[in-house]
Amino acid sequence: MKMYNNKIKTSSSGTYFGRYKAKIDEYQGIDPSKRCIIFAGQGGASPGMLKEYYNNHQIVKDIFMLADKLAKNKGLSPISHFITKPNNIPIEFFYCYQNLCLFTLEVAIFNVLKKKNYIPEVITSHSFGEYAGLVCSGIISFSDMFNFIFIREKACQDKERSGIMIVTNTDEKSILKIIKKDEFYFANYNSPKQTVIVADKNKCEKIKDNIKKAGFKAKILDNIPQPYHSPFMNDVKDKLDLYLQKKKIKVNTPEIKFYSSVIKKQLSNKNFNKKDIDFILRNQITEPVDFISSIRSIKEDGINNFIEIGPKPLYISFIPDILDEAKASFFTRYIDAKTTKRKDEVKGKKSPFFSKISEIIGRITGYEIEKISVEDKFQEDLGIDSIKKAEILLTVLDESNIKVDDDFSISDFTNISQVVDYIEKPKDKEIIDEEKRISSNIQRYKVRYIRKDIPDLYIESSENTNPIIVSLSEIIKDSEEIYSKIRKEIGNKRENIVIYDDQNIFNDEIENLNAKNEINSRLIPVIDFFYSLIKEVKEIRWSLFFITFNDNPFVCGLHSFFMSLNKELKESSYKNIQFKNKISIREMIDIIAKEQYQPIEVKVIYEKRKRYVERLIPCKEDKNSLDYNEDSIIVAFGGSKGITYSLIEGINKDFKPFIYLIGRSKKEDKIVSNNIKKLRDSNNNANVEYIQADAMDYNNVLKILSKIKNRHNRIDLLINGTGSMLDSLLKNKLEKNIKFELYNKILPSFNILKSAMITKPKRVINFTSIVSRYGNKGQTVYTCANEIINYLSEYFNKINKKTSSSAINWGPWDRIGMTSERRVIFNLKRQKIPLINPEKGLELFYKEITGIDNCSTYILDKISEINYKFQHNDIQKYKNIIGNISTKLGGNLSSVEFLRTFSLDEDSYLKDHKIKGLYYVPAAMGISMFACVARLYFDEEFIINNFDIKNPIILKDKVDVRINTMTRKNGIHMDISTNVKNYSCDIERSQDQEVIKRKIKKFSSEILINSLYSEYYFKDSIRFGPKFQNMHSVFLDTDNNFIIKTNNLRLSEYTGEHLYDRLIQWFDLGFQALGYFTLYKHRIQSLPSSIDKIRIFFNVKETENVIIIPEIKSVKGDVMILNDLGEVMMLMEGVTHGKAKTYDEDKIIVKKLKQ
Amino acid sequence: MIIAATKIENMNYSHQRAAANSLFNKIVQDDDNSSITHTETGRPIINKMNVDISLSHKEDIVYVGLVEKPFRIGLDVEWIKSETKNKLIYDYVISKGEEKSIKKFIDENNYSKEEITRIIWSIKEAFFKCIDYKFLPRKITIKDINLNNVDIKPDALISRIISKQNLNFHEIKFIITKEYVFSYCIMKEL
Repeated sequence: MKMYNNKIKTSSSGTYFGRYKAKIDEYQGIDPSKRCIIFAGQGGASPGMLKEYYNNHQIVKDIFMLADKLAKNKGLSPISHFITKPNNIPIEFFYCYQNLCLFTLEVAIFNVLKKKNYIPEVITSHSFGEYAGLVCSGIISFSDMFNFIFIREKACQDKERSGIMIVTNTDEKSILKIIKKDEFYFANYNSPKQTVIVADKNKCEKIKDNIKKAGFKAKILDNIPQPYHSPFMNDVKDKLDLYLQKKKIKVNTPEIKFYSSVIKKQLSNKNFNKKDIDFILRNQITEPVDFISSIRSIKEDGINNFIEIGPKPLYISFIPDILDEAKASFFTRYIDAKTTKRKDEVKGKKSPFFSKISEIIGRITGYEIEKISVEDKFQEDLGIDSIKKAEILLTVLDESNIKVDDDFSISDFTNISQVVDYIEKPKDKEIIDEEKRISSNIQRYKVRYIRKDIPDLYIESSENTNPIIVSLSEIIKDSEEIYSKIRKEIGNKRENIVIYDDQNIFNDEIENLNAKNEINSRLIPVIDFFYSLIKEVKEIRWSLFFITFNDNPFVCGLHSFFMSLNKELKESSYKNIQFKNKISIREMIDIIAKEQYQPIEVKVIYEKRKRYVERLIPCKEDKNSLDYNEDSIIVAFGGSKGITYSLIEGINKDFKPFIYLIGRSKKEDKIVSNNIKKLRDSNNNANVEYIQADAMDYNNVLKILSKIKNRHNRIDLLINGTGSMLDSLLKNKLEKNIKFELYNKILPSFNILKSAMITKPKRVINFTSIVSRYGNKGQTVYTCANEIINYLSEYFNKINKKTSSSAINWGPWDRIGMTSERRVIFNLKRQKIPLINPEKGLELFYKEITGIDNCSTYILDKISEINYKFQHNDIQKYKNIIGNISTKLGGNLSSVEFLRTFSLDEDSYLKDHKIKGLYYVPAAMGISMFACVARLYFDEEFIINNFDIKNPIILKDKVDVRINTMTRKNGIHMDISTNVKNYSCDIERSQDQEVIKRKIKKFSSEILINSLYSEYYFKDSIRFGPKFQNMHSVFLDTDNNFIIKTNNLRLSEYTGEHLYDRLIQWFDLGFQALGYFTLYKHRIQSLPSSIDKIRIFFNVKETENVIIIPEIKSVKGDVMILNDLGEVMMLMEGVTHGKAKTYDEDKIIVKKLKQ
Repeated sequence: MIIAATKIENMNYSHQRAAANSLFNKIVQDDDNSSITHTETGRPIINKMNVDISLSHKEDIVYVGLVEKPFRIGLDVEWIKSETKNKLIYDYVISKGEEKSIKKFIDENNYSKEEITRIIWSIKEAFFKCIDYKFLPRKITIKDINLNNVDIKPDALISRIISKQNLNFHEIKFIITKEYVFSYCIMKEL
């Protein structure tokens, strides 16, 4: 090791590798365990400073709470606002708040270090840090010092002073050689290389110039509010003298030695003198700061380990210039911004994430899990290097479904507790704000069916579909034969599989059926069939159609099961077609063939050959208020815990009614007994009773309800909150768990509803889940059971006229019920799914009780609905347009990315879009890609707003293009990017658009098309080739406006998707129309750069031709695209078109038409 | 510029640190005017000496680099023969924009995906150590790479960090031995 000494020879540059022996001797240096803490001056203070420490350390918050209280007594806003809400700080008192905040923060950070046993040998300070130093050494109390600083700051801002500070990069001696002694004052001796002086404002420029002339640097510190540490501050000193005369500050002997830079002396309990403290307080503001002698004196006492406490590391940078050998560090090396409080919590609670992380560490490194502690540091304690650490972190995040973005740095994690913290707490402010916003939009919705045909535009050339058709009874009866048949087909290619309900499987006389038998002998065999299939076939690729004929609850449950299953498969699609009338097999196949071109709507109904689709519409609300009171009788099954209990708590508080809670847990169960006690105590309600019973037994349920009915002669509200969930992908589920989930939800609900037929409560409300409507990955059986309850509820409602029953499909609650697991809540938050808090839940529940819609209601907000729906869709079908999803679904649904590659081999039409050897993807393609993604999110009409072309997409032979989607307040923001951002837009939902008709004016003349394409587009110019030369005839109307006619039959196939091939070419025609119109009018060829609004009328019929009408309005233009009937198919409004080229000659040939 | 690597067998993490510190102390103690401080990222700074230093250690290797100021150095050593096959690391280290250049490099040199992940990791780690910033591998894109040269393009954030520190890119190199990849990045303070 001797080879590298301080005499480095640059001539020996090079790279050396070799084998050396190392000898490690016992360390003989200075004891680094003796530390000196330096409290910083106000140089680094700024609004929002050390916010993470404020947010994450309870000690810091506690001290600020005291400071805020003291501030309030003085008529000030909370001091903590300087960190948390700096915009609220009155600007005229800025420095007062800043300095009080800095003082508080320094004391608070010191206390955090102290708690971690980083207790210094000595404390010192720089300038303003003197005050925190006096407090932390135990000499003056925090409150006394706070009050004193307030007086100091008030006195400072009372008057404008003529002095100003100048910083120089030299020492005292050199300055005295340059400037006359009577022209300035020394303020800070920071280091031999930095000195701050104070001079009169009028002289400061001259002084600065003189210093510079002498070869040194000088800077006027006009950002420092006062000429501190100079006689310019004498008036403040006088005011402080006065204050100290009146107010006797209690002074104690120091607990920790304190080196004062004001009196240049170390104070300890041995030499302590109150007069010294009095002097410091009176003179700190006028006396110069001698940081050099402070640090040197401390070093002489054998301490050379310095830790700075302040907003950012500033003063430790002077230490290397003051001392030859010292260790200087910032406090953040000793305490993390985020951990101390969380660590204790995690340790105590045995966070499930810690177990998960330890398990992954064990898996990756082979460590014994038991030996891993939450406080272990990856490198120091576990010897895990950076790549292994990355492997562990990335695996943990991946298995928690958390997306890793480009800003994720493994450097942010030094120990395990930081990882636990990261997973447990989504702390992104945006996410929190977003949560708040969307939770306020949560409403009650119900399903309605609206007429909607599949426009011809969607239908591609008819394919000969020959699906595998199987009935439910075949699946149950001949399952082995059918199983082999399907098994054979689905592994290799995408097959259409049709499962139809032959209506003799599930019993339609619901009230008389044996529910257990129905589950065991019918429902479970069907589920088992698919369970076996999915376990055996790794990559199932199918388009599954479930053909049903009525709303039998079990059949509807299977529909929900299939929706969830579809979300567990990668390359599959699913659709439920319900026929309300009899239909032949041939007709059914024809409809299936058509429906496969409209994969957006997951459930459609055909009645008398008319097609209906589902829409959620807001529920009507009854204006009457609840008429519950102390005599009301409320019965709740499953009400001792979770959501039901939370609601009962609210009802109890509002009405104090008779409450009967029925559950399976024993009365002695800790949660149950606590909750019952809480109910009784909170509103002094003696009429709360808990009954232990298993609601899976019909007799139990009937007996309990009859007893209550007999006792009170009525039941006002019966809540069915029963059920349990075992979250797991179908292929990983245990068979016994399938039965468990079905039994636990269906049987109690069936028994409650059946008993309600006899006991006739006024209102029955069943709790189900929103996922039953959309399906959910990992919840195949749960969604199935919930959907069965939705329809059972509707069924009983129809036959039980005296009771009004409904099902409320709850979205996830905030940490209550199924979301009480942090893992679940974390993922929901990451997906920006709004969470229902108890207040919102109660409000919606009351609306449900008084509501007049006796049907299933759905609790959600419209924006998150697009996320739920998006997962249904058959994305594979559109891979030629938008490529494949490149992000992991289920991670963050609010942000999804698609990746598509354009290549000249695959997309040969691009060869016609060429300039100077480079090929351009037409902007019309970008709009169509956006439209395609938008249709995956919305099943209704939408508007594309603010389409912006930032950069064209250019390729030589290939280019990767990414479409990013991000759900926002009013819809979705999307952008397309390659290595740069190319296009962006905002998409919002619009109401179904009515067909607009436009009368086409009479043509007066025709422009010869060759005079446009041939004269103005030449080789190596966009649209040179035939593929984009789609304006087949161009006319002028009587007002000299362009009208372009194009024959649809002559349009090309670009992607093989009829609708999008049309859209691409129609949009491009729109751009051409504007471009040629400006050429005709002004001899300027223009290209589009942005479009304010784009509307596509998907329901308008495609005819033989399209008519394109451009209109120029100043710098922007509009384009309308019509069919032969004059119906608007597309509208582009506010197209900004930039000048591409100006022509001197007008080569356009116009031919008058014979009238 | 001096860059050296030494092999000490049977080292654990604390041995590695001790060996590295011993080497530093040796450099520092021989100069009476010098002292060591650390930046927030843990980057060592030798004060009073006209040199910038960087160190890395892996398994039984300690790797140290010194350059004269105003040059800055960052270096990293990684063990390329790890058997770990984890696509997550590949995705974390390699950005979409550089897949093409890296694929070309793989094809030319016959490296496995695991090996290339470690090579790129090492290059990028050296880069971030040099600019004294936390490791954000996908914030820089390797536009071209061969055994003699690496062409790196930082994104807007990293460009700002570089220009804020008045750094000018000097060179980035790597050497692959049988078991390890050694990388260094040198910049010059303007």
